Amino acid sequence: MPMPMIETRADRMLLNFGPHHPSMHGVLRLLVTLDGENIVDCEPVIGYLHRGMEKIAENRTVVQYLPYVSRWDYGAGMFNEAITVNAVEKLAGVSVPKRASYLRVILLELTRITNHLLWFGPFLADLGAQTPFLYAMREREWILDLFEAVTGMRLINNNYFRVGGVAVDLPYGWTEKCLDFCEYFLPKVDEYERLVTNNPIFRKRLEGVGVISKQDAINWGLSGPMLRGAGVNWDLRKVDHYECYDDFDWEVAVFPEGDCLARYRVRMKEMRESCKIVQQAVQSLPGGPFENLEAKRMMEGPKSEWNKGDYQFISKKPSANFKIPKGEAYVRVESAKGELGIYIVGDDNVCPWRWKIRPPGFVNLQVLPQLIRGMKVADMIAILGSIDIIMGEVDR
Amino acid sequence: MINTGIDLQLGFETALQNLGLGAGTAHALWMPLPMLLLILAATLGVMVMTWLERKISAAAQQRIGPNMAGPQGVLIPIADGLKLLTKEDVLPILADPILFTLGPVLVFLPVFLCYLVVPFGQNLLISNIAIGVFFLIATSSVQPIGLLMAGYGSNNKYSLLGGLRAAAQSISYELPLALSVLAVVLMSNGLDTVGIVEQQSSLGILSWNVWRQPLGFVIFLISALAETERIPFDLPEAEEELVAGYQTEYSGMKFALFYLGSYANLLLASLIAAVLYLGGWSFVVPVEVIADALGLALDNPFLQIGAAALGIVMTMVKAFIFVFLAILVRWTLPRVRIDQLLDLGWKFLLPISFVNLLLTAGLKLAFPAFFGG
Amino acid sequence: MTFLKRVSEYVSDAVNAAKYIGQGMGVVFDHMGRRPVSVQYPFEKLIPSERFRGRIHFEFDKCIACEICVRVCPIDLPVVDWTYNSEMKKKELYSYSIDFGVCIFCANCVEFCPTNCLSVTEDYELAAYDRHDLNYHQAAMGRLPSKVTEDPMVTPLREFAYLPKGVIDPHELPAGSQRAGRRPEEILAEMRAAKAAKEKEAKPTAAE
Repeated sequence: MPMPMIETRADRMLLNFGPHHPSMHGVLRLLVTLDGENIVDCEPVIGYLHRGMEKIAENRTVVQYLPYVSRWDYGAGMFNEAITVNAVEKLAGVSVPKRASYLRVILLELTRITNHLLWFGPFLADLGAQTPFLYAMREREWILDLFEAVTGMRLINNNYFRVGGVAVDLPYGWTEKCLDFCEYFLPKVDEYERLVTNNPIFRKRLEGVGVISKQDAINWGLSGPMLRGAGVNWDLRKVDHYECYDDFDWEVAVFPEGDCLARYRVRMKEMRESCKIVQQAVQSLPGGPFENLEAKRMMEGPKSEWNKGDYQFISKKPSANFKIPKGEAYVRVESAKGELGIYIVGDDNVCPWRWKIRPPGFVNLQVLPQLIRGMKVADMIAILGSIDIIMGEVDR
Repeated sequence: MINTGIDLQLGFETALQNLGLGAGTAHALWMPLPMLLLILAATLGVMVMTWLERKISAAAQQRIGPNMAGPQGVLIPIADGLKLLTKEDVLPILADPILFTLGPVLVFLPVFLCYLVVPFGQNLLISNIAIGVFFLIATSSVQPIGLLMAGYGSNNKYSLLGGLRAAAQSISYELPLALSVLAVVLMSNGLDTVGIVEQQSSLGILSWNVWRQPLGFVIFLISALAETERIPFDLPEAEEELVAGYQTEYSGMKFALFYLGSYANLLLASLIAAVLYLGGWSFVVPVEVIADALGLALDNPFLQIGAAALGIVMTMVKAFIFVFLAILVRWTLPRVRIDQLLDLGWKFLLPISFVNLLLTAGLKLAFPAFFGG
Repeated sequence: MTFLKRVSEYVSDAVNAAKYIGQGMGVVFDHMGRRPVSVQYPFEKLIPSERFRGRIHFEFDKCIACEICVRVCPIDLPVVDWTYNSEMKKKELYSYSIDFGVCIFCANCVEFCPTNCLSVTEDYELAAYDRHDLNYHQAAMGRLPSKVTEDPMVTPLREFAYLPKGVIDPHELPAGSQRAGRRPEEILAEMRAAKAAKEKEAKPTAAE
């Protein structure tokens, strides 16, 4: 039975959060109706970062479009490149060498870690703890250095994935440094957990806040940590068996509570699991580290088996006039934020006829008004933070 | 006990009278000096604290922090101050000009008034009024009115929410704060700050109130953090929620007043914690014992100067331990939610501080020797 | 009884809270003794990786004005001004320019250039007071980049991927330390030696 309360009549206040607000993760705008500190209603307004990414794709060749795509979800740019080349590969039936597939997995999992780090820091900053942000940036810096060594750019604009493989093989000594990173990173995750996970204030702010039931999560079309945080064991890496994820021993992070804390736990566990995948992939890379591969090639001459098939980093370099065949396809990957999909319609032309992006952030964001009705202002910030949106992909 | 201490006032006034001035004139000339000194000292303390905040947070985050303005960036607070002084003082068109201007002043003034009763030594305080602690609590309660004025006068919804939060927070934490202080007062049989320190100084570190009032000490620390509006209780300014709360519309000197006021408040809270619970100016070992060991008479002028200097240093050291703790807490903990904040204040700290008060009263009756009968 | 139980629950909650807050503060406090990881930018600079895509370098004499760079550029940025020289039966390049205020440094042009007249440099400090100053023509693009390692004002720092194995801090790296990974020549020599040893081992058995 609810406690008897004195009925007070207070005018409601319409408060505008964003598009310029410290915790609106870019340019999200929330029109919030407040009753004191309580949120009565919320209307998200999006579109402040709309750049017409889908339309741009319709008059670009794949080669031209690839540098654009890391600007969708600029927190984890490599996933966008992966899905872009996957879409074309599926439509054109291009196969990917084993080594290229491994390289993709290594970079995608590192990207997942950067994304989760970039979520972890600002999420805690949203809750008021500033220091973990700097710690997350410190570890992220190492990954970005690794990216720079491989792809030539740090966060976005990597332009590394190609139809049929990747742009270039790893540089010398990169695998050893990558393993170094994993070795240093895992204790750092423990350190974050010591700093944050059991902190009573943190717990109180997150436990039972923004609860989504299993059925709701499915009905809203949520994906990624939002869905797994609601107890649905759904990870496209396991479901679709794409790339070479089946070669590795790893677990899907699932927590059944459905609140902000569960989503936090999912992401923390995913960082560890991604680290495990990277370690295994680097150790079992077909052909081994690039320096070994090259030595073997030099040893055995041009007809060496190491020059063939699965030890290549790309099957065939795509020409600038690569034609996308007629047909349509929907491809998806498990990006760091959820299901990132492309619906592509080809018209036997260098440009796709239609390029529909299914961004996970956009779909996950829809549930926000539902979650924050009746909560406090501070909860709104926590829930929004736990969804992990990047406005670049929401608005595209 | 060293009771006389050094009486600077007497010395100054007799010196002036010897120069041929009347007693009244001499007194009038003396009066502004300690006040000026105190304002300067408090401002200097605030500067040191802002520098410390930057440096400690930098160290905690594996950064270097300010290092260009002067050695180790010590001139950064001056640069800050100059910047705020020279900034345009914006008054929003739709703001209430009177409330908007009065707000920061009302936040700033009580803090500096409170410094009147903070003792740094036997006679090293501006005025040893008999109701010192009461004065502290009463004066600092004026602050929320200023915050509310600022929040309401800004005519900004974020400011309004911030001002309301500030008022709610100050009111709910004033009670446990006052009750925990009351337990200390109960033990020292008086409200004057000097008396409270003297009551703790008989056995050096062993007789400090922190051993007799551990619960009260913790309550005081938590409530003081809440009163000074620092993380985890910085809801009124909560950057991620309310942009800057009641300070949103402020710039230039008015913002500087808020800034100065909040840090001066933290320093004040630390000083009071040092006075109430850590024996104020008293050293770990009573000065009399040291004097005995050195074979010096208690009225030896060098000993007196030394003891006074030691007293000031000890007070500052103890206060800065709390400042350091507050900074470390600020860079570690997330912010609590408004309902959790009020829960903590009303449902946890308040009952416990009542229990503490009752316990102290009971112990005082039972063991008057230990609890200041 | 229930009251006492609740009190004890309260107390244990409070103790746990204090414990975990203390644990978190311990982590933060521990960091105060660690070396800062930040790079003091104008005085210290990271050495860009060898694949880093900075300002693009252009060699006028190599260019055959095929315009593939324009085709693969996401925004058709390079301006290639040429005419057909009927005497030489060749395209003759007049001028070539890229506006680096617009370029996104994807280096598609470099990747597809058939004559390698385009290349990426490590030059990333392109700030200018006027955005039109960023429109580089062939002479500006032909300039060589300045090197971080040769600037006497700057302490160059290696990026994580170029540190020796097991090292994560680029500060105070001993001079001449090698990056992780072995040189392929070393591995090749080792493999040749192993092969020779194997053959040597195999020979006596074959003789028997």
